[in-house]
Amino acid sequence: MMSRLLRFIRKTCRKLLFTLHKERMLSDLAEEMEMHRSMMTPDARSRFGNAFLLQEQSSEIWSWIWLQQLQQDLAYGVRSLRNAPAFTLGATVVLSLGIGANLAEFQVFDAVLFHRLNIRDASSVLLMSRVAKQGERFGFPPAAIQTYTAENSSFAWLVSEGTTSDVTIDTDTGLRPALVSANYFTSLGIIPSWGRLLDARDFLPGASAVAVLGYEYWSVHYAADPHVVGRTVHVNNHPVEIVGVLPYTFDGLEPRRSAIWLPLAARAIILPGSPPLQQDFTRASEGLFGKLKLGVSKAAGEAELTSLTQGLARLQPQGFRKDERIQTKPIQEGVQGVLHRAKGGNPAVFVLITMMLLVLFSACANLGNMLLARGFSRQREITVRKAIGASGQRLVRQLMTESLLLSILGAVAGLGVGAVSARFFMNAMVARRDIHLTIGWPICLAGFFLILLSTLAFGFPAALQIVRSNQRRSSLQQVLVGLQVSVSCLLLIASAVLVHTGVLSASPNLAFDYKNMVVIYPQFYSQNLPEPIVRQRLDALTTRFSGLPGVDGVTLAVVPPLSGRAAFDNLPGLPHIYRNTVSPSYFTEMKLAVVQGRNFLPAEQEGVIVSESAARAVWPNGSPLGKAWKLAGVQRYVVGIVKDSGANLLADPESIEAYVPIAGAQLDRSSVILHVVGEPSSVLRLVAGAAASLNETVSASLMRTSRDNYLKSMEKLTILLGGIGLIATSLAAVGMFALVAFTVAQRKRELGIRIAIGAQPPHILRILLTENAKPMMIGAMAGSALAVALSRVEHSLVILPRHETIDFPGFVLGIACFALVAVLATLSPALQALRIDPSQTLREE
Amino acid sequence: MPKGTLSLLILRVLQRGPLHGYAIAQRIGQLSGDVLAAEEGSLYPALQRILVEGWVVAEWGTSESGRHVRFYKLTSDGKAQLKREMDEYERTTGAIQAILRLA
Repeated sequence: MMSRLLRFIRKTCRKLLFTLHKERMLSDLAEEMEMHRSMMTPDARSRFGNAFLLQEQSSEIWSWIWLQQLQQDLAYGVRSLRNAPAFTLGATVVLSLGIGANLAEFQVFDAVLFHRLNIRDASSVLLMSRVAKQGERFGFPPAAIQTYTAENSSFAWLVSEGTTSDVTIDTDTGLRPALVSANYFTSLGIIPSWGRLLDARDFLPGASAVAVLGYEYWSVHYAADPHVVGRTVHVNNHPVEIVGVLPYTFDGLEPRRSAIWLPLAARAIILPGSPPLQQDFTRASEGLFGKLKLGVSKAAGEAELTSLTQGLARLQPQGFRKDERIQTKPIQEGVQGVLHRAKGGNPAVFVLITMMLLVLFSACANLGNMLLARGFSRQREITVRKAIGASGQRLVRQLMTESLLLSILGAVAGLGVGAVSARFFMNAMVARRDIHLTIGWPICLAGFFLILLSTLAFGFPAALQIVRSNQRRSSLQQVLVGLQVSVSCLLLIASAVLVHTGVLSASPNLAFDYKNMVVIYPQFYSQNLPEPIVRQRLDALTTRFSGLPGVDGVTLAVVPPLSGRAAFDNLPGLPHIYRNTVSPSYFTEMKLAVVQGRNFLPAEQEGVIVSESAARAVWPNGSPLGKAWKLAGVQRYVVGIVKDSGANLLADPESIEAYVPIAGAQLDRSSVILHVVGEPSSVLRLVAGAAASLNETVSASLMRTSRDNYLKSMEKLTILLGGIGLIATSLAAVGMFALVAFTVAQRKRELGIRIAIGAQPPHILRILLTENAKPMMIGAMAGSALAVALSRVEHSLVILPRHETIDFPGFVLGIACFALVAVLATLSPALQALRIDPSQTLREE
Repeated sequence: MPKGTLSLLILRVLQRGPLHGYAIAQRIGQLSGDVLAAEEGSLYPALQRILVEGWVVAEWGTSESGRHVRFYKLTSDGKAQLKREMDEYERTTGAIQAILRLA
C-alpha cells in the first residue's frame, strides 16, 4: 500500500517535471527520432511513421490530457471573451451587481444595524444567565455580582454591564446610561479614543463622580470635541466629571447606543434612594459576563456560580427564584449574534438574506440568458467545430470554461463594486463617518464561491443547449427570461411596498399634541405595592407635578403613546385592537376630541371608548354607542367615540384603537403624562427633583424624542430597502437590454432584408417586442403573484409595520417601475434596429 | 499484438544492458519481425510511457558509430516490473497450453 502510494507520488513528480520541461523534451525527442531515421536504410525510412503525430502522442503521455485541454480552453476562452468586449462587459456588470451590491448591503446592515463587538478575545467571553423552571433570565442583582466576583475561583474575570432609566445630561434628555463594574474596561481591553476609561480608582469609597461618554453621543452632542475630557456635566442635576470617550468600535457587550458610561455605584445618582450595592438584591438589572481561567471547564464554572447563587438564595430568598442555576454561553456578534439572540431568527435578517439570494438568483438567470443568446449567435462556429471532430463533451467543457472565466471576472469586479457601494450606502444613510466598514473575509469568500457555483449551475444548461440544439429559439431561453423577469418583478414590488410603507410610517399623522408632552414612569409595578399605597403615592406625584411651572395638565395612561409599549387584542375578523388603559382626563390633556357620546365618568369601570376607525370597523352599520363589546375578557359598553390618535398606525397601519378606564389593579403600571405650555424639556429637568422631594425615583422622557428616534430608525431601514430595489431595477434593466440587443444582433440580416423590402418601423418594433413578450408577461405575472403571496407571509416577519391587506399604492409603484424599466431597456436596442442599413448588412454576409 | 506487449519487449531487450532507440528497434525486429514492422516510430511513445512509469531512465551518450544518441537503461523498478510481467505471461501461456493439451 505504502509503496504503491510512493510510486504514485514519484510518477506524479516525473509528470510534473516533464510538463515543465516540455519544450526541451520535445526537441530532444525530435532529435532522437531524426537520428533514428538517419540510421535506417533509405528504403526502410517510410516505415518509421509520422514523426509529428508520434511526438504529439508522446507529449500527451508526459502530462495530463485534461490539464492540457484546460490550458487550451482557458486560452480559447480568454481570446473569445476579448473578442466580444460588449458581452464580457455586460456579463461582468450583471454579476458584479448581483454579488457586489449584495455584499455592500450586507456589510452596511451588519455595521449599522447589528453592532460588532470589538474586544480582546471576544470568542472566549461568556454571557451568564439564571435558569429556573419559569425560564431563563439575563439580569443579576448587583449584590450577587459583588459576591460572585469576591468568591469565585473559576473565572479570570467577571464584569457586569447594565442600564437604568434614561437620564438627563445638562439639558439633553432621554439619554441612555450604561453602568459597569470596576474591572469592566480593563478586562475587556478597551482603549479610549480620548482621555481614560473607568477603572478601579473610580470605585473606591469616596471617589469623585466620573463618567465616560459613548462615541456616538460625544460626536453628535459635543461635535466630537476632545476638550470635553475634564469638563463637568450634570447627570440628573448631579455634577459628574467626564474623564474620557469610548472608541467608536465599542458600544457595550449588549449594544444599547449608551450615551454615558458610569460606575455601577453611580446608580444612586440616577435612582435616588436605591440601596447600597452590597445589599441590593431587589433589582436584577445587570448583565453578567466572564472569562474562564485557563484549564477550567464551562461546567465547573457554572457549578461554582450555581452553588454561590444557592448560598445567596438561602440568605436573600426574595432576590432569586426556586432552584436557580447559572448557565453560560459564548457571546456572539454581528448578524450572527442577532440571529442567536433572537429566538427562531430575527425576521429582518431573514428578509434581508432572502432578498439578497433573490438578487443573486436574478443575476445568474440573467447571465445564463446572455450566455445562451451569445451561444446562438455562435451557432456557426459551434457547427464548424463539431464538423471537424470536436466531441459534444469537449464543447460543453469549453463553454463552461468560458463561464468560469466570466464568473471569476464578475466576482472580482463584484468585490470592488461591493466596497465602493458599501461606502456610498454608508454616506447616504448615516451622516457619521466614524462607523468603519470592515470587509468580512468569510462573507467575501462565501460570496465568491457562491457566484462561482451559481454561474456554473446556470452556465451548464446553457452550454448543453447550445451544443445540442440547432433550433434558433429554445424553450430554455424562454424559461430563463421568465425566471429572471419574475424575480426582478418580485424584488421590485417587494421593495416598493416596503419603501412605501417605510415612507408612510416616517411621516406619521399624529392627532395628539406630542410636542408638548412629558412622560414619567414611576415603575411602582416593580415593587409589589398594595393598591391603596400606589393610589396614594401616585396622587402625591401628580399633585407635585401639576404644580411645576408650565405644566397645565396631568393625566395617567398605562401605554403612553410612542413609548414602545403596546397592548393589543386580537378579535376574529378584526384588525389588531390597540388597547390603552387611561384615566378620564386623558382625552382632554392629549387634545384628542371626543366626537360622539361622552368621556368616562369618574369610577366608571365597564365603559369603553373607541376610535373612529374602530367604530367603522366593528359597527359598519349604525352607531356603536351603547353597544356591548367584550374586550380584554370584560363585558363593556361603548360610551364614546374619539379621533384616531395615529400613534398605533406607526407600528401597525391597519390597526384600530380602544380605551378602557384605569381600574385599581392597573394603577401601579400607569405612567404620568404632563402637558406643558412652552418648552417641555425645561419641565423634564425638574421632574426628577420634584419626585425626589417625595422620596420617589422616576424616569422621564419627552414624547417627541421617542417619535424622532422611531422615525430615524425607520428612515435607515427605508433607505436600505430602497437600495435593494435599486439593485433589482438595474439588474432587470441590464437583463432586458441585453436580451433585446442580442435579438437585434442575431436577426440583423433578417431585419435588414425586411427593411430593404419595405417594412415600416412599427412593424420592425413589433417583431422585436413580440419575441420576448410572452416570457416577460408570464414572468411579470408570476412575480406579482409571488409578491402577493409573500405579502401574506411577511406579516409574521415584522420587519416593518404590518399590513393586513396588500399595500396597493406600493404595489402599483413596483409594477410601474418595472414597466418603465422594461420599456426603457428594450427601446434603445429596438431603435438601433430601425437604423439598420440593409445594403451594409447584406454586404457583411 | 496484445496491448503492453511492446513495452514488455522493450524491457526484455534492455535487460542485457542500456541501448539507444535504433538499437532497441533492431533487436525487437530480430526477436519478432512483425511487432514494429508497420511503424517503427511507435517505439517512442511506448518508451515515453515507460519513462513516465520510471521503469527506465534515459541519458544522452555516443554510440559505437560515434553518433549522438539517447541510451535507455532499466531501473530496479523496471527490473521488478519485467519480472512481474514475465511471470504473468508464463502463467497465462502455461494455463493456455494446459487447456490446449487437455482439449
